[in-house]
Amino acid sequence: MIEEELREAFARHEEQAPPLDPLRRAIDALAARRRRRRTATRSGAAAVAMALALAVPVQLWRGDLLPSIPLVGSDSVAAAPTGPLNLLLLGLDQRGDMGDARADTIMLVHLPADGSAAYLVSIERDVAVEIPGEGRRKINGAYTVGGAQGARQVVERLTGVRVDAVAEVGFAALRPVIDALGPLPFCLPQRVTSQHTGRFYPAGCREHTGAEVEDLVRQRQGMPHGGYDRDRIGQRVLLGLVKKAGDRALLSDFGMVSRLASTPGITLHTGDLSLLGLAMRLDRVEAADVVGVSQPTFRPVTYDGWPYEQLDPQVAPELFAALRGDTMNEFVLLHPAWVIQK
Amino acid sequence: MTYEEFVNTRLGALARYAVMLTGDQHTAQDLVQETMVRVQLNWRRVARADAPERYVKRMMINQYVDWRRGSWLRRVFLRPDADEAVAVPVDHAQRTADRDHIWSLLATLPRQQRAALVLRYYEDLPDGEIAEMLGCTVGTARGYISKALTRLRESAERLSLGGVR
Repeated sequence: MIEEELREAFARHEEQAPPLDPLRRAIDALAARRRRRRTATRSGAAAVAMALALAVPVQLWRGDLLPSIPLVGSDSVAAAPTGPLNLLLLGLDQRGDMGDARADTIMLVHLPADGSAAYLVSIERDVAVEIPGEGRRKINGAYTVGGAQGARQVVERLTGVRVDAVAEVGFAALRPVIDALGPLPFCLPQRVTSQHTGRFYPAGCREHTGAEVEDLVRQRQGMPHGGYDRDRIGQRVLLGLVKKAGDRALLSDFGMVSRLASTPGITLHTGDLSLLGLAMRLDRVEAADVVGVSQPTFRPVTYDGWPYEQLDPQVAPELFAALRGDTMNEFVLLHPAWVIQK
Repeated sequence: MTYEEFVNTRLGALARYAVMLTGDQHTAQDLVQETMVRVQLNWRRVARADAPERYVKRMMINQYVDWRRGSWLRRVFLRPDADEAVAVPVDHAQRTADRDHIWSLLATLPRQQRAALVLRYYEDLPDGEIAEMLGCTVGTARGYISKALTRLRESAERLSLGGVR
């Protein structure tokens, strides 16, 4: 009865469909515009550029292990690893002594096996997790308790994703890196007032100095989505680094690479991965193919009187399954709200 | 299949489907446009799917359900929200208004429930495929449908008791 009414109502409103010719023209125009933008950010110097862009974790391994060996032309040293790779990037806010350091930015850098892209997947730092021997804690506490290894185990348990390498980057390390590269262009979707320095950053696109970036990536209070907004700023910074590194054709600037690699505040744990192989994998990724992914909304929840953040019960498992199954390209297509707009 | 062929044969059906999901022509246009731009830019990937049209329809559902959360929704919602604009039938067109009453009620449903009804009563999909399209379990999909139907029935009843019919 009501079912029949529904069928009729649907059928009756088919005539409301938007006219197809203008629709088609609008689609083509919009697609052409986005395609142009994509081409503009594509840069030939993808290789080392991309590595630098993954902010430092990557030049580290080059810096630590191969301080002065040019990557190009050294292809006989190692074969690029096959299969997808997941790197865990921990952004540390180290004020005071190391014992108090918390991992406030937690990001999985996923490199699919086909080398088509790099995905930066943020995990909000207030997400509730079980830490062995500690009970329920916020995920950023995992670093305080267990260091990089502890953070890695907790992330692996949460996501089911095997982590191939971990990079720790102190927020303070961003400043010298960006100072060396020159001001970093990126866009802020909303204005930000620093809780730490009192500085005011207007919404919109401009170039940011190292000191400004270091300040910005720390901001969380007073923003509509709290930690998510900070994660998104962090991702914008990384995307800006990708672009910058590409523009400067760092491929040929080994002095620059080794200077960056010796930045204090950066540590890389690679386990049994071949670092050179990893770097080679990144050679194939171009700036335009770096995709930032994060949960679009804050979902606060309270356990035992403490506020935590909750992962989307439906989409987060899909995201983790996509990371495990190496189908992130499908995921981002199906969940546009989770993708950071460049 | 090329992108051109896909658009030539399927755009009309997608536009109608968008109307069923969104309830109005303008929002439907935004929904189709935004989805199809991504389809065009990623055509090879879409074409690889077993059923490209099904795949695109799933993209549209996600875009629609994520609406308020996603960034493009913010843009779209600069215009009045269809949810708030539930048309109240007026006397001079009582017959039409009566018939379209159910359409207005649809706008009061949560998006996932509305999407489930569209898949069941417009697309005529079985429960298993509805669940697949919504990315949930079959039980959850059935729950959406039965909750939505209950709500529609109750609203319709209230209205007829109020003497509108």
